[in-house]
Amino acid sequence: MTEPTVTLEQRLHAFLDGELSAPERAEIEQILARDAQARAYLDGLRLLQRAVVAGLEAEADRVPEARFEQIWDEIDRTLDRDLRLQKAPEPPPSLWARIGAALRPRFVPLAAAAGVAAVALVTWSSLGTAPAPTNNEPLVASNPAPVKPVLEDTPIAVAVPVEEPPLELPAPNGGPAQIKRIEWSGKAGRISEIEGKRNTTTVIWISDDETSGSSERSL
Amino acid sequence: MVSPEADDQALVEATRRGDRQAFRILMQRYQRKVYSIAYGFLRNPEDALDVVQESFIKVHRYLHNFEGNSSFYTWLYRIVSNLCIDHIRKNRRHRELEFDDGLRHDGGEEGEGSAFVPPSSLGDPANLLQRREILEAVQDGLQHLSDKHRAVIVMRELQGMSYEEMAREMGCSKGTIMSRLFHARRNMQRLLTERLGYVPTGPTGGADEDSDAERVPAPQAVLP
Repeated sequence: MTEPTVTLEQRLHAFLDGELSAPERAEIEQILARDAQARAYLDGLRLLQRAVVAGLEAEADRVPEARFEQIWDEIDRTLDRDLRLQKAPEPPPSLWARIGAALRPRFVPLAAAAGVAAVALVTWSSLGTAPAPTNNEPLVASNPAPVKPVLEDTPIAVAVPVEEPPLELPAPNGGPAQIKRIEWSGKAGRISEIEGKRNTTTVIWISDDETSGSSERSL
Repeated sequence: MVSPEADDQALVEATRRGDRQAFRILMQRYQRKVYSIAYGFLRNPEDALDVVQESFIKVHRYLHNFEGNSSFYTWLYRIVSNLCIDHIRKNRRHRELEFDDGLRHDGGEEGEGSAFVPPSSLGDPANLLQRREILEAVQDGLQHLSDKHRAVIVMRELQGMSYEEMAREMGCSKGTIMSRLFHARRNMQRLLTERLGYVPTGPTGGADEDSDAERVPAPQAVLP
């Protein structure tokens, strides 16, 4: 691959821009010394440079100073904001953040211990509800109320509300109550006689412990 | 308190110490140059002013990265051109300009031996400024250049960047920059010729009689 040919015109551009090596520069200077057309070309390039610079600087001169003042004001405000951000103290951590920070070093071992404890509890609970060995006393009442299997005919495990079976209270052991004494109004006495019913009222006679007298009471 | 006549480095140091007024002096010193560069890239006054604002904010924020190995304005202009390139890339109207982010040097400093030439050293433009039609022709000519051609002209003529620096900035080879700059200038000259009714002032024929140099094409000097 051959190097692209660099014309004298291009070399004059590079000469103008200070991009030539010392030998190349010396060669161009020799050409310029004897070639008026080359000199004119170079002068034209220099004039173009100055025209471009002058044209853009003239454009900048059209901007009123007040416009740059506005820009400075905006820059000033921006720098103030930057400064405030640099100086602003860190906001105090919230209560939860502080608690979290305090617990963080202990949280992992605590969580692990809690997990192990939970697993142990679940395991122990499941063993506790398993059927007891036959040679041991049953842990539940020997004559429990028959429990009807819930959802026995419903194999699908659906959360259906089940009516609670009625609470079965133990049957009374029967027999009349043997009431011999009675207290009333801060007094006490012995039931000396049960007279019987008068209509719907049962009349009893009480021997007062303090006065040794008898009086009629009704239940 | 830093004097308004203090050099750039003194103002930079004062700004680093928190002297806001020193930074304002720096801005006042370069705001119009920054605007002219931004306007050269973007061709829109409000966009250019936005870049001026963004540039100085960025300068202040990254001033601690500026080591002083190059001049402050070289560093500043690099920030400006990067922001302009970003602006062009974001703007769908300017899809023609393509840059390689991997070769960008955002906020960095150029190495030693930079070929930077301050635009003011190119000559006193006072006589040009007196000719409004020429200035308008230049501005109109820039308007009609492609984004790539306008970018190389601004980077070279206003920012004084070397071919190598421009190649890094635009993500292309040095040869491409050389070719692009050559064609950009030629197009600019053609546009100025059309606008001003250019009459060639140089010889159209060969070189001097005693010259054995290469034949130079028609001279491009467009301004009387």
